Amino acid sequence: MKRRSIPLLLFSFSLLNAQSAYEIVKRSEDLVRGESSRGSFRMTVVTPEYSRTIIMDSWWKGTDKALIEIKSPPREAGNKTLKVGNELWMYLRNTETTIKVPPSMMMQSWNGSDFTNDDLVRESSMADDYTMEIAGEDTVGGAPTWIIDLSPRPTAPVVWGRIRHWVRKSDYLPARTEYFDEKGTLVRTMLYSDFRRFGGRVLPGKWRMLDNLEEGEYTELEYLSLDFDVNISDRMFSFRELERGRRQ
Amino acid sequence: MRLLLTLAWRNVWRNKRRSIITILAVTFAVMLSIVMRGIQLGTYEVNIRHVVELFTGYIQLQAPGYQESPSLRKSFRLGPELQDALAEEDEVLASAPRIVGDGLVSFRDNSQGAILFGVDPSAERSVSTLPDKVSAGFFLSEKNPYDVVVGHTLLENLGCALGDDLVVLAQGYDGSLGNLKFRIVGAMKTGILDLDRSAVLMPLATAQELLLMEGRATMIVVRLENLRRIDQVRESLAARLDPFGLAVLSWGEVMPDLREGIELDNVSGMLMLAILILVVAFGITNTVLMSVTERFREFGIVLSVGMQTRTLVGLVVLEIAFIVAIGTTAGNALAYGINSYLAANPISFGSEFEQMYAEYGFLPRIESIILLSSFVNNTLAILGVSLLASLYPLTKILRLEPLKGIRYT
Repeated sequence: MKRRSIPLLLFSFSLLNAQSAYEIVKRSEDLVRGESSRGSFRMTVVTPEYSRTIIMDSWWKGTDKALIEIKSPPREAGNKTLKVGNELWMYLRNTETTIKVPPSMMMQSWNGSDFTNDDLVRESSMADDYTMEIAGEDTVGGAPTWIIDLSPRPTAPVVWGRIRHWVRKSDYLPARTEYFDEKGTLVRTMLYSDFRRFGGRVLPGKWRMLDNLEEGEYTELEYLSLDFDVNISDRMFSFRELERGRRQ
Repeated sequence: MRLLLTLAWRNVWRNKRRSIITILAVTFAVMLSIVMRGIQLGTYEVNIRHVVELFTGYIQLQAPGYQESPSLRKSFRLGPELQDALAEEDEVLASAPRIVGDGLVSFRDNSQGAILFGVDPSAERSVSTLPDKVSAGFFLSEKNPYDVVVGHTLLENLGCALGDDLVVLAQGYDGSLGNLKFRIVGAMKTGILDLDRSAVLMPLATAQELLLMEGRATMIVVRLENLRRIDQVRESLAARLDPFGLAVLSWGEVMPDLREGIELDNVSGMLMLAILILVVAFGITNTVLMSVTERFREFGIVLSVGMQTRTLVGLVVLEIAFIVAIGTTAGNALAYGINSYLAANPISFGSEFEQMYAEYGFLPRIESIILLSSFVNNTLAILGVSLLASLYPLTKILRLEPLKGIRYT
């Protein structure tokens, strides 16, 4: 009786461990994403040659639907991005056209940033598309974190060879994410900082995506305001709304 | 010596059939190898000319690092000083600035990735044959800034026709998204699949507006007079353009795939040539060996009556020299005839091959070229190999002893 309990205990421990890596990531993802949200953010793209700042408004409903509208600078103001499921459309104010982003352009930069179109579309799938395990513990920005290694499931439609993800122990918020390609090269790093309260939740206020292949290039998203669980009509995510070229 | 020459000459014609066969073998080998090289090098040159004059240019000026990872940020400022410096170079026939960038084109519900080319409509005519490749409609002109010419496959894939509006979306020099509406005025058929499938040509000034590239270009395409002098011109241009901080690249550096493909093909051609020459060498060894062993008796007698072994060897060498000289002369003459005919009248393939060749960006055509170097090199190669091939039979003579020669053979 006593002999048997030790392997059983070990087994249940490892099960617990595997379970908890998934739970940590799942809980972390759910925290960052509400049922619906409305926000305004500033995106700063920095390269060695130039840096530029765009102010945008965004509306999210679940992980499926999103609308993002550029408010400034004037050259791009009024341009919108609509995401419905896995598809992406862009409305261009200048020519008053709607373009569906073709699959071949998914890995291209979104609005000139270090984010790709694919990032917007596939934003939901970390917990579903990867197998994961806790690889250790670390301290990021003074906060204790778990290090979680994620490798893609064989059938998952993902572009990364592996992901290393840091999650804060205190509040399950992400602290850092490293993306590696199939050859194991670190391609880019997301740094989360400025944890603040938005609409009743604590969230990272600054998301900085570093390009690890090009020295000195990064894109930083900074939330100016963010409200959760707001009432957004489905009409918001229609072509009609998209093409209502409100020239402001 | 005079006697030796006469003797050798007579010996050659003593067994006419064997000598003629050997001469024919040498003739054929020389002719075949020169014609093969001529066709090979000729076809390369024609294809290179075709590709560089169609689009790439003999030489391109780019910002350093652009070739490795093209980006609008690796562009440079155009100016009269640069134009002047280029014009000072003698062999430069013409030059034209271009902007190349990535974009997205959209027609109604269809959108597709595209390569955007900003070209100077009139300068382009002087460096490339691109304006002649418009298969429907017109090429660009300065008068209509918002016209585009697109690859014919792209036109089909988008499902639009000439005269339709096309929206072009592209990330500009500062990373911001620009978009403009254009009218499609022409479709082009270049035979280069990438261009036909994704090229969108617009006037340079419009591309500068769309991409926020005021006064800038990503490359200058240069046309030269002579393809063969490209390396010298490249170096001289590189020195001249040093103050502008531009990289001067030849077509081979711009299209490494094409260059490597040609180099690989060239090596395989030379291998074929080597095999051919080897076969000829064995043929020559064979006939010389036969003519020597057949005459052991005779050699034994001339040695017995006092001829020196050295003189005898010299005699046989002279015989071989006569045969090879006649063969190579005839071979060169024939090769010259065939090469000049092929240079003047290239052979075109049927239409079945055309598609296949087009995929590799090659012309479906065989054309030859008359290069002094290929005549000289091949003749020397065969000459050398013939002499090498007769070494073994000659050692037999050296070892010949007068009496044994008469009795035991």
